[in-house]
Amino acid sequence: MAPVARLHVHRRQTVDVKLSVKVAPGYHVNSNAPDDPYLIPLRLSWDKPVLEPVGTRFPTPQRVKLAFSDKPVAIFSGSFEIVATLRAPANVADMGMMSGKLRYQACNDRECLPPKVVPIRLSFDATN
Amino acid sequence: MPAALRCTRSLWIVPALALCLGACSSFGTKAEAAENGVKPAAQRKAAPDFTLEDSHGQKVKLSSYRGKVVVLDFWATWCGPCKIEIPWFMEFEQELKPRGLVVLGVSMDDDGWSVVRPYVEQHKINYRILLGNDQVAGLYGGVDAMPTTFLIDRSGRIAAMHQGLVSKDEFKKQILQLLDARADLRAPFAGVPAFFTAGGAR
Repeated sequence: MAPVARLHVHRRQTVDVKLSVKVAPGYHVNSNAPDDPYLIPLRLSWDKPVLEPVGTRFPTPQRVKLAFSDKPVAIFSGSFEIVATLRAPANVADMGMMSGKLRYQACNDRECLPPKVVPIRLSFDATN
Repeated sequence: MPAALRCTRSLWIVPALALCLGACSSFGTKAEAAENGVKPAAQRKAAPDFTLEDSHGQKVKLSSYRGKVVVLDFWATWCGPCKIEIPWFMEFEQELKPRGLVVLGVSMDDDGWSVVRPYVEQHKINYRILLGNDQVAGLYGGVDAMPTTFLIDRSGRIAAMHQGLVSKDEFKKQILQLLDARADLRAPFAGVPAFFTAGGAR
């Protein structure tokens, strides 16, 4: 993960946080909404959020026919962005921090790696 | 609505290939496996013994299959390439069981039987499925990627290891070679005292 730049938020307003993800060449991760119920989706979650999560936008997945599936599977590969929208409450402190997790499960055409979690940490300054 | 502030964070999703290479080296490299297929008997190491529960709640001890050729497959319901192998293993189990083959699928699903049992029923898997854990996976080098399959000879020794999908023909060739080989019943499973198995000498 690249060094974390401090986030500047205005109270009562939303902020978009872009998470740039790079998947190693040859691998893919399942999208946030894989069609197969057994596949593990890409999932962003926040721990005790100081800034209120409003929503998460994932890119449009690639639909790829893989050898094991009867129908195309929704995946992400290469570089892509996830946008998390957060709202700063009126009473948020002048400075704060929140943490989250990006859970993913990667495969290539021969093998799959166990699900893993990438920790995310956001520091912020809040102003009116 | 106020203009949204934007901030960029970068995340790298990098598969743990370094760990995988470490695990592979314990059992020979992929290149060696591709050239040699099944390891010569003298170079085989004892398969670590373990006891796990199957989908019917019965305890299964690996060393109880002494005298059989065992396909020990570490897999998971979320693993696509594993799904390709399952029908092959079902076919092997049916066709080669009378000759002494046993297929054991060790599921590494974190969610346990709640996901594994429906999967087994849905896919009508005819071989024994066990629920694995990190401790057992650790005995076999960590199982950093799935499928990871070990072929165990009749003497309880690891004759071949495949990380990732290999061809059905390659599996079958190696299994038949092991089924045709004579067992050395003096060789114990790892973790099983020699006196426990020595009584089963030819």
